[in-house]
Amino acid sequence: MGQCLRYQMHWEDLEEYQALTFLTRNEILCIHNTFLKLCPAGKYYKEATLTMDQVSSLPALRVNPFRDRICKVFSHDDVFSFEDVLGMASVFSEQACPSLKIEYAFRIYDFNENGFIDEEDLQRIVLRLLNSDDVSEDMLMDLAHHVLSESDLDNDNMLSFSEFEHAMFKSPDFMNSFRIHFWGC
Amino acid sequence: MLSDDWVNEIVVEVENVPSGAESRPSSNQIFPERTRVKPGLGRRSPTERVESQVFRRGSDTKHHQLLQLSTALKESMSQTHHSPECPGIDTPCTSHETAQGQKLIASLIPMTSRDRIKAIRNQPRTMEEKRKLRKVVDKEKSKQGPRALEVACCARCLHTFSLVYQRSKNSVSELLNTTSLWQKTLKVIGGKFGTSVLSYFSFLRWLLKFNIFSFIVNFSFLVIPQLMVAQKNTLQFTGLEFFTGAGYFRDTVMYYGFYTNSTIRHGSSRLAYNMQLAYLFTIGACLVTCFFSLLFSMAKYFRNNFINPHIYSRGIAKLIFCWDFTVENLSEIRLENTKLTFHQQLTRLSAHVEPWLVSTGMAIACCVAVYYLAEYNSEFLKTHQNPGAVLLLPFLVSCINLAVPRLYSMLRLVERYELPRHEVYILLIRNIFLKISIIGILCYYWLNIVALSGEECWETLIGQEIYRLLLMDFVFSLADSFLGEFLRRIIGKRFITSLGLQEFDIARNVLELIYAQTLVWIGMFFCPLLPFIQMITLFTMFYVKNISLIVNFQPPSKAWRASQMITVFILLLFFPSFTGVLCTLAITIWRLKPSADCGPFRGLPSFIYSVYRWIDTLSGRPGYQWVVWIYHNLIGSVHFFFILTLIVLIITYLYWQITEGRKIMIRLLHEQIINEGKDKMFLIEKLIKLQDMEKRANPSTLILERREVEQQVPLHLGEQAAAPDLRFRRSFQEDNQKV
Repeated sequence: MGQCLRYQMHWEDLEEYQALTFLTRNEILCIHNTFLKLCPAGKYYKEATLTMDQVSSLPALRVNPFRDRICKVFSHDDVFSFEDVLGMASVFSEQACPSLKIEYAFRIYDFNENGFIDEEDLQRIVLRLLNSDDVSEDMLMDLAHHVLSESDLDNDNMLSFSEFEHAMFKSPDFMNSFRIHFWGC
Repeated sequence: MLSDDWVNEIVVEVENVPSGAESRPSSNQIFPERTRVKPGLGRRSPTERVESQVFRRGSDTKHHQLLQLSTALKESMSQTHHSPECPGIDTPCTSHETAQGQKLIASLIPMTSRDRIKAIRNQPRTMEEKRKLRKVVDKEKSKQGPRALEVACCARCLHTFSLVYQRSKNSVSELLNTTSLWQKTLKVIGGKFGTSVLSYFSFLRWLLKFNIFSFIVNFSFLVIPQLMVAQKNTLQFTGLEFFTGAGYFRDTVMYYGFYTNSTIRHGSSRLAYNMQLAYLFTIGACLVTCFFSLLFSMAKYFRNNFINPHIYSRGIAKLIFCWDFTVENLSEIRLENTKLTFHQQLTRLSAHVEPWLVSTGMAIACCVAVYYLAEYNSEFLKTHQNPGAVLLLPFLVSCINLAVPRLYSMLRLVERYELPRHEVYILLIRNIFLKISIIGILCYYWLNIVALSGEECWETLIGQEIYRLLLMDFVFSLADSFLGEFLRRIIGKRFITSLGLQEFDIARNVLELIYAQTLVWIGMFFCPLLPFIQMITLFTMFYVKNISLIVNFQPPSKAWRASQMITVFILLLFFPSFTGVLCTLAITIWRLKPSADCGPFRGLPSFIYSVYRWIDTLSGRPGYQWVVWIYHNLIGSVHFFFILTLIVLIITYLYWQITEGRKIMIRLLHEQIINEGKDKMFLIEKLIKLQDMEKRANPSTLILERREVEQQVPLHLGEQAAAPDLRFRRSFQEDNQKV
């Protein structure tokens, strides 16, 4: 795994990234460095891509039970460009606005990508959180029903985006915990 | 904790049009795309995801929530049904050719550039799309440019000036962020141990800020003037002073007794510095600042965490969707929602009576012990001249503070609580009761016995006592971290491996911080340098606890609502602790007689007498009549406070009624949502039935219609990029990416 061509980021690019994302200068430069170390040799950083596996194995994401969903949501055509990585770090940064976090959280939790978090999604979320396979079926269903009874407002057995958003706005812990600190910056 | 610096607000409706549906209900025909309806549709509601991004125009409000969502249920009724494929979020609807893209651009153009940047940043789109959006908006803006240039050039100057200002503000805030104390360490702790443990360290940092502020104020207004007229210290310095606070330190700026009661004059100028007033007002200013800071923090956390009628639902949703918790014991969660009969509740409650009696009894016993020891201590000290003997009382108090909370934790093993949250709260209540009673007993002893005992310079004595208490507490905390936790880790790893590593007991540690801070606030009057000592203590404790955490502890396994607990901690800091301090100081200042030989208030009948005298002197001077008027009619007058209280009560009552009304409103709106959902289901079923009927009636013409539809659809959908099915969507995505 060689290194990308070591081009310094242009000042205008840095300014643009600062304007378009929630990251600070230092964070962008940190991510730039790490990206350069990981991407294939001989390519300009703006054209290089990382595979989903490479991004999943980063220390920040390695322990996250939802890393495959995160990679799926933020990548395009199953690869990560530098800007995809920046976009991901921006959503998970501290300064990101709550609406953005909720939007992407919804996409991450929507396993079957039908635009709603339904019972199947909820059960898969719980299984991921528990990280074990010997969970009884009825406990999963019970939990899914509990979540839906709390948050499902129009009684259609699914959480639409508005319902999810409503539930998350009620819990301030969500904003604080939906953060990933990338690359030790 | 929500990022909330929105100033401008425009309501923009950006519709994510699901594939196959037309956003404008202009033609109310039902398109023949009903044939694409999938059979399992009864379960799914074709709710369109309509996002409206709300940006508020109004310069007064700075804190505002971002989004308001509304679902355009009614629009979907008059349209065809879409395939349940939710459109890819990054798709077509966002290109600048689409209608909603146009709407977004139109809303972005009139904004100031700062708000435009913020609005674009908040869009959930890829960087490429945001960049395009920015270019398009800039292009549109420059098209309108020629008109805008007619604006006076000073407006442009202002604009560039504000840009420069913004940039400098950004760089300054970045600089502040990097130099903010312990920023990086806190992030590491938060990442490794979760936000609950992080809340302890944030709380510590917040208390440190209080102390730094108090120290700076005290130092500038009390210590420095005093040092200018300081008398020589004739006592000897031995090393023991650091522990006892007596001896050499007695005649330094550390204690009340050293301060002069004169009016310090600088040379022959007319500048006079009245030490008495300075003393009172400085301490008062510190406390008032702490009061307002506490009040505002408490209000902010309260607003986010408690005052929301539905918040009382404990919420499994938060556990599932938040990343702070590793959900290990699911059965705990299920139990939250079971309801009990009255009899069951009663039996459950009665099982708890015994442990409560035991714990309260222990607390009272400790208080009595402390009181008698304090009394005995003074006689003991008269007979034994050993200077180290004064440490006996602080030693005992620290031992009580060390041992009894752990006994309380062990009680927890005996009594069973269903919810771990209740356990935590009960433990918290017992510990706070213990600590506050001990402080209360000590204050009673100091103010009633020591102050009236006729000793020379009793204020300094109290100051020394508090100093010793604080120091002993600090030493015990250090010993606990270095020895206790270390030993526990060795035991957990080598000897009884089933115990494992321990978890950070947040409640106990936070209560120790609150206890120490209460002592500092009380002692600030008698020992103005106490915030400085507390500063050093907190600084050291941060690093010690941090290292101990990393070495000896494991991350917490139980769910712990960090933000709710922070609210409870601040509430505890405010309510028993700070108000107790205010009461104590009020009693001191109004009721007690200062000692006759030392301190700024020597010889006066009471501390507050200095203020009375000052007002009297002011009333003699012509230029200061307004101060006298304020004092007599606003501060000293009962009527004023009576009317003020009445007004506050009326306002509180009105707000309470408004809150009740809003709760009812929320309930009604919830019912309305449910009803609309039912309507939707009903109409969908009807739609399916109609389609089935048509299908059965005209099977042959269907194929022709289909082809017509496929030609019609692109025409109708024209500018909209909505793709009726995957095939269209994919091709459009390719087009989009080429752009």
